[in-house]
Amino acid sequence: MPRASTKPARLRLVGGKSASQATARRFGPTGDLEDDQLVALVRQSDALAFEVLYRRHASFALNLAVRIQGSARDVEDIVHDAFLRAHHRVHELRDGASFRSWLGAIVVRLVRTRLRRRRMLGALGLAGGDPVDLDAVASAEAGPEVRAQLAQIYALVQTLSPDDRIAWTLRHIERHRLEAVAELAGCSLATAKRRIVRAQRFLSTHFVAPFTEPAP
Amino acid sequence: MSEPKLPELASALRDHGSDERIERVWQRLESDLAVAAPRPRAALWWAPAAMVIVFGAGVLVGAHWRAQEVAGSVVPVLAEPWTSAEAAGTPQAALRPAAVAEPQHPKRERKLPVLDGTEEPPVEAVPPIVEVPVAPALPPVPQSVSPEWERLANEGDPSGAYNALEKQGGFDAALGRASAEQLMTLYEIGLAVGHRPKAVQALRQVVERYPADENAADAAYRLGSLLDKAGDKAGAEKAFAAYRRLSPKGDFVEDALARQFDSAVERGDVPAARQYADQYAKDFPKGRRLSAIKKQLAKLSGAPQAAESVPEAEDTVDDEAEEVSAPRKP
Repeated sequence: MPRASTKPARLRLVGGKSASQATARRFGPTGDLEDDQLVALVRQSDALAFEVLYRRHASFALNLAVRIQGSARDVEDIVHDAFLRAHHRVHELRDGASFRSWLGAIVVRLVRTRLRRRRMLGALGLAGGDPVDLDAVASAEAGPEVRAQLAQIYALVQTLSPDDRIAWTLRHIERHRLEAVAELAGCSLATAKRRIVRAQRFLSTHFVAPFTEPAP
Repeated sequence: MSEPKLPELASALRDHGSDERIERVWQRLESDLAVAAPRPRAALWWAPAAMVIVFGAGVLVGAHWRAQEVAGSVVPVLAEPWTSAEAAGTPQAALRPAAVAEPQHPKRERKLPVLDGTEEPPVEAVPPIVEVPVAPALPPVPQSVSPEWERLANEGDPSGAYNALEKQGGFDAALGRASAEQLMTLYEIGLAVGHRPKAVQALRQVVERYPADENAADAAYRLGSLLDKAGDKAGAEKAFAAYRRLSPKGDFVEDALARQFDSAVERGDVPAARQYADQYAKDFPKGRRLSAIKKQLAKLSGAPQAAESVPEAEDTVDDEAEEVSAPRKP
């Protein structure tokens, strides 16, 4: 289920870390500014403000890309390209406070392009499936049973269409609210729900629960 | 159906936001940003002035137009309704034909006299009645519920989906009212059950009816591949051209252009092949197919010595691009 949000921030990151304190120390007063204020400064070509935005949201972007892809492959390229694109198009962002979700949508689009490309290559018999790197997804502290479940889930998710895969991952792995899923995936709420339901139905049918001892 | 019991993901997922990685990406980003500084927005001080000028010009043109209409003695017929019965017995009847001179640019409503039901309407005001064959009404398609065939296809049962399609009016009927996404599903169904022509039809529909849809470029490329395999080289060439047009910066642009060249060669169209080869050399000077294309072109032109002397291009593209450019003859 989605987590309750106490801030109006649209997205929440699970498993990431906040860099706000670190950036505040490093960048002085600029590090204390809110996203909308930073975006306004970036529009005036303030490089420091953009660096603060980058360091504040890089972790979110990296984790988002890895979890949708199921691997850390080219993830630095994706995040690099996403921030570069964000920098070039910052004038198109109407609400500076939604920088995080806007950036997330850029990351999702970049990942989706790669997923589709891999899928098309696979369909044409030119490449194997998109490899899932369990070590990239699961933390070192995760137990073997949890890792096995994650491996199974990602193996199933891998067979979904990129759009369904993205929607389901954002909802059930990243634990975003439905509205945030729609925003990140660049589709309507109804479409996001439809994709999630379709993916969920497939996973529910094919997921095999771990063996448990029957009750005596 | 029960949901899969997922583990506690917050603790099970790895965090990739390490300081080293963030710093590494920033170094690249910083150097790129230094090269391409953001362009300041163009000042828009002239916009209000331009709007005023455009508005003023519109007013002048409108006034001029109105003046022309008045000079042409255009009488507002609808403002003064009359019937043929009235017209026959009033002094105005004698004047009316001259007064109701046909304007140079008559407005449609001015041709419609007000009728009281007693007179014969003017012939020109009544369009001829033509018997139009009425197509049989299609069964209503619920918008909120997926058709059975789509549900089955999404569940991984293309044969079942195809059978359901046959029961619900057939594949072709579904093509006519499918969305772009549904057409892609129909394409997959057609391909899965071995009806390639139907798969081709579905892809064509996506390209022709939904060129702005995100599936269109993908559909065009797949269409080119299918037609190429079916031996329709001209069709494949057109489909690859459509892909390049729909996705000029797409991942498969280089490959599509090379395959256009291949199709032109297969068709024996040397001028077209030369054109594609020139385009390829211009757009992809380090393209992996460049040397092969040059060789083939030289061979077609009857210059084997030239073909021998064309140096091999270095493979400078990445792994994925190499896979894309790999020869894929049927």
